[in-house]
Amino acid sequence: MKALKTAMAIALMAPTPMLAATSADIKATGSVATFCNISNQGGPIAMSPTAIGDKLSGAGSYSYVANGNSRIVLSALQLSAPNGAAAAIPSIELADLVTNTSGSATASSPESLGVIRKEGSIATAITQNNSTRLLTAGDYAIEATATCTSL
Amino acid sequence: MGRAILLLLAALWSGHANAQTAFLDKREFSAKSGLVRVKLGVTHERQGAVELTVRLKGAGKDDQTPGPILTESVSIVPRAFKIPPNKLRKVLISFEPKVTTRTPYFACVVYQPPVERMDRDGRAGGSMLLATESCSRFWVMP
Repeated sequence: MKALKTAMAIALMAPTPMLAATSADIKATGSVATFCNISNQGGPIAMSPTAIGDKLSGAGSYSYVANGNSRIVLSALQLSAPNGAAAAIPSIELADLVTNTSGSATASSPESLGVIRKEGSIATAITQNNSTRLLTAGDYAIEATATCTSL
Repeated sequence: MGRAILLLLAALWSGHANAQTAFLDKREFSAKSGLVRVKLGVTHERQGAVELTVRLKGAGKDDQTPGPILTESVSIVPRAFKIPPNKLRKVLISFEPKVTTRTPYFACVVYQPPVERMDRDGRAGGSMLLATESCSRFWVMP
């Protein structure tokens, strides 16, 4: 009994080594899943004729966020125009990021090479290349997809 | 459950305005068993519930660019769904790749904004509709 009391007293008087032994077992780890996103702030962008009348133009804004290496690809631009309209060139520019003026090819931004948080303007236009430099009257539309890829 | 909450918090803290986001924890998968199962977390921050579509893509012009949408022997559950803002939806992509080398694939979630009729007061005009897509690249080993 005396020996048990002695052992308990030693344990209570010297707790530090016991706690030190458990602290060595604490291990903190964590991980963050990579992601990226691109958004067109404000939805569809309206385009109106310029003063000269040879072009439709509109403006919006984008937001691009990624927590690792990523890039943006703008799809080929799908243009719809009134029946009988002269050929036209669509364009979408995400400022300081990527521009596409093609109806058949994609356009890519450079890789971000790390985290990125960027906001900028979107400029969009439809320009007709007829000899009179006048847009044919009617409704026009451009459809495209902006894809961010987390690499 | 804990990981799902962490992913959702990461999305909220990222400060993006309203884009959809696809989270992929694991970046490398083995095709030894014949079937690859990829778990994806999807969320967004738009003002109301929106319809999102998930798709699997192969590589495009290089191993950094998503290419064609793959549908053959591909199961995506759920493939399309309506989701309120700041909720995390888990998606399972299963497919049977026939690869002989380390091959890139892309898990993507796309938001297609609804077409809005714009009032032009009788004048000529136009609109630009930009769909946005978030992809995460992963690799499949033979």
